[in-house]
Formats: sequence, C-alpha cells, structure tokens
Amino acid sequence: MAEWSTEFSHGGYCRLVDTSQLADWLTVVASGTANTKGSWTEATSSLYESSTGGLLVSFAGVTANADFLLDIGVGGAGSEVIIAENLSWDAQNRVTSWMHLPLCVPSGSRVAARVQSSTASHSTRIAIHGITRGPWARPMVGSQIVALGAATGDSGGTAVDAGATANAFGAWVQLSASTSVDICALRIHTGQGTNTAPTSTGFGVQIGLGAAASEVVLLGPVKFPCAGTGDYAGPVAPFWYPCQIPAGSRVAARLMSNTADATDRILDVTAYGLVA
Amino acid sequence: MAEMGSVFWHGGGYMEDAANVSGGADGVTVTSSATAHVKGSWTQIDSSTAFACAGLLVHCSNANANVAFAIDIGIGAAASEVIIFPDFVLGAQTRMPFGFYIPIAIPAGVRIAARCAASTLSSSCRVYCTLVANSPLGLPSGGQIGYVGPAIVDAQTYGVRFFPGGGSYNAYTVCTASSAFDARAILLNFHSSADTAPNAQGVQIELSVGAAASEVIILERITYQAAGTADVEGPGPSFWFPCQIPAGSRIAIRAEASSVAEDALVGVYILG
Repeated sequence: MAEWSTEFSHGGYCRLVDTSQLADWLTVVASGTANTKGSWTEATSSLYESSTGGLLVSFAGVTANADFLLDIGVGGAGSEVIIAENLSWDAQNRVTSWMHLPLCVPSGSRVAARVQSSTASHSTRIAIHGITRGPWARPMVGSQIVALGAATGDSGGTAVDAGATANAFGAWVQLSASTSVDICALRIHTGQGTNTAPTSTGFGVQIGLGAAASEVVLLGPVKFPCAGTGDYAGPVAPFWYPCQIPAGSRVAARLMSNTADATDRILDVTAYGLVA
Repeated sequence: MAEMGSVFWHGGGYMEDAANVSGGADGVTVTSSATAHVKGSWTQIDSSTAFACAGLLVHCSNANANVAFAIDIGIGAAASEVIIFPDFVLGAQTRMPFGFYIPIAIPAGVRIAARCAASTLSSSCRVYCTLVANSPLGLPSGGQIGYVGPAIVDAQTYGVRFFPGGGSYNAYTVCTASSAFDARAILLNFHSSADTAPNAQGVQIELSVGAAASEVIILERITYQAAGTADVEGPGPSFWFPCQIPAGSRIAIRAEASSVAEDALVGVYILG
C-alpha cells in the first residue's frame, strides 16, 4: 500500500448525528405563519463525536412547489445558537438537496433545526450526517455560515433576472449591501423561486464584489442546467470556493440564460459565506 | 480585515467556464454511439484551458427522459484523450442536474473533452464544465479516479444496482471484489434504475470495506430520498468522503428503504 500524503486524513467516518434515526428522516415543520421560522426540532441531544470533517445535511420537501429556509443551531433547548442560517432549497417533492457545512461541532453538543416555508405549516425532511475526519485532513476553520441574499419574506433567495437577451449576462443584482463579517469561502445556491414549470434551460452565474456599476467578478461563470420538468432549477453543485471577502463588502450576482422567456430566465440566487 | 482562516487556505481564487466565457449559457451536447451501451465519439469541451487549474467543476444533465448515461471526462489531443473521470452515471430524469468536482490538476493549454454511452442509442446529454484555479477548501488534487462497479454493459441502467429492503437492510451488494488502487476519498451518486416511478420514501445506504461477512462500515446510513414522481432518486451529495482504502480491497454497499423494497442505483468512485 502506498504511503499516504501527509495532507490527507487517516481514514474517515460518516454517520447520522441521530444514530437512531429511521430511514424516513427527521421531519421539521414550518410555522403556522408563512415565511416565519417554526420551532426548533432536535436532531440529536448529544453529538456522538466532534464533526471535525463538518456536517453533511440533506434536505427533501414533503410538498411540491414550496420554498424553504433552514437554520441549523447548537445548544440547549430554548438557547440554540445558529451556526448556519437560512439554507435555501426549493421543494420538488422529495428530491434530495445536499449541503456540506464545514463547521466543527464538538462532541456532546445538542444539534437542532428549524425551518420557514412559503406555505404555512409545510413539512420538510432533513438528515444531518457528522463527518469525523476533515475532508483531506484540512482543519475545519469555519465557525459560522452566513446567508447573503436570502429572502426571508418569501422563504427563497434574491430574484436575479438574466435579462431579455439570451446568452448574455443581465444586470448585477445585489445580494448584500455590506457583509457583516469576513468571509473565507463562498457557496452559490440557485432555485427557481415561484416558477413551477421552468423550461429546459442552461444558466451561467457570476458573483461580483464592489459598488454598483463597478462590480468585479469574483467567481464564475459557473454554468448549470435547469430541468424542463418538475422543479429543478439547478442547483449549482454544493461547492465551497475559497475567497477573501472582507466585512463591509457589497456582494452581487448576475445570470445569463439561453432563454429570453420573461419567467424562465429568472432564478433565486443565494450565496453562503463561511466565517473563519 | 481579520486574517482569513488557517494557513491551509488559499488566499482567494478564480474559476470560469471551461468552454467559452463569452459563449452561450447552455452546456456542450455530447451524443452517445449509434449502438446502445457503446461510448460515442469524444466531443471537445475546451480546446485549451486558459489557466492551470486544481480541478474541474462539472454539471451534467440529460436531454432525454428515461435514458441512462455513462460519461467519461478526458484530457489531451483529439484521438489521444486520457480519461480523468470514467463512467459518471447519470440518471434519466430530463435535465435533472447533477454537479460534482473532479480533483485532478490540469495544466494550462490542455484540451478537455467528453464522451458518453447511453441505454438508448444516439441519445444526448449536456456537460457544463468550470475550471477551478484553487482547490475548494484547500483540498489537494488526486492522481486518478476510478469507477467502482460492474462494467458499463448492463442492459438497462448504469451503476451498482441494488434493492434496498423495506424496513431492513438487505445483504451487501459487491461494488468490487478488489479495488484497483489505493483510495483516499469516495464519491457517491444515487439515481433510479429502470424504475420510472420509484416509490416516495427514504433510503439509507451504507458502504463497507472488507471480506464477506466481515464488512467494516465507513459510510453509515447516508440518507436520501426517492421521489414519488418522475424518475428521481437522490441525487448524490456531490461530496468526496475522506477514507483510506488500500488497493485490493473488497467494497460493498447495502441499503434499506423506509417502506417498500426499491430498485436503485449508485455510482461509486474512488480517488487515488
């Protein structure tokens, strides 16, 4: 057997944080008021081992065509501290979305989740897996994940219009006027918003920094497809990209699409920043 | 501004579309052979990479309902392509996207291409490819990626086919009796088999290493959903799980479904 690179971990292990969880997941219910966070639902009362490799979260909706924003928190009941806020996804019935959260949660921690939905009292299913070695043995430097562009008013992201000209970028749309913290990695999420019948479309997305009309491209374009049936506008692969965004930065996004259709060229965009 | 992260992190980075930054938004169409289950010709994705990259971020989609694909990503001159990601299995829902990262470093000036086989002759998929200058979260690039599973000759679908039991784990299905090289990470992709109407239920999968009846679980109860509509199971987590599997290992999977037995597929890939 070859000698392993010192940059790599010696094996790894991944399992659900709730080791008693059945195959049909943990159900988390949104508030009885649309676009309002529901109660916290405990995923585990005591994490079995520190998640030195982060948490891997999978989501699936129970009801089609709703938007969700999910918080992950740690701490005692009634004292939860949010470590990842407003994780967004669109709800084609039971299609699975994934997000790796590069956050180390100490063993023994209570982990909980809460959700809001564009429809009152909607349920979602989640599964939270703990990874006990860092991917590639890199330390999990993140302490928190902040959302840029989450639209809590409709439980989605910021609507970005690719514009009336196909295959050309539309205007920049602001995701954050001023980031509240330094960000050391970024992940892009896209969704179809309220479009329940998107056409088969290709998209490209860019993230930019800087004042309005002076944006500098930070990432992209990343190109990705949209399903012609169902509710599958992307998403972009759950991919954390290293960057350096100082607190106080303006962050914006723009899209291009190969359709000029006034509805289908619009996507919800949310960016997630990893805080060191 | 606070110091960013640990010293292991790269300071900033760059990523851009591999094919053509100023080109259209859609991916490159790749068509399978006129014979089912046979790889078609290579289709160029990028004639010359614009910069040295730590890896590729790839999204794939299906242009045909209920057709399964096995996609190769290769580098090198025409007719001399070297496969860097073999037999990515793509399920059959039209344009249901799936994205994954290929942690293989590629120098500047290299040609990138793709080819595919399909369960129905002359079918098309689309490939979207983004060059990534710096590795995500500082992960180092690997040297090779291998598909772990049966040869891509199955009559209907691609991947390791198994039948999660309803309410209990089934026996292990062997992905490989002997892995080809030392592996340090695993990528999984879930999708439906020939079942065009999978049951709406949860599925949990476990991946183990070791001899029959002595399997050691390294991925425990990875949980995903089968949709009650269309042809959708999963997709997978687009995540390279860290591991340490020596060459020659037996790798096996088992699964359970929350209610009834299901027909499912998983693509299993190892990074060496």
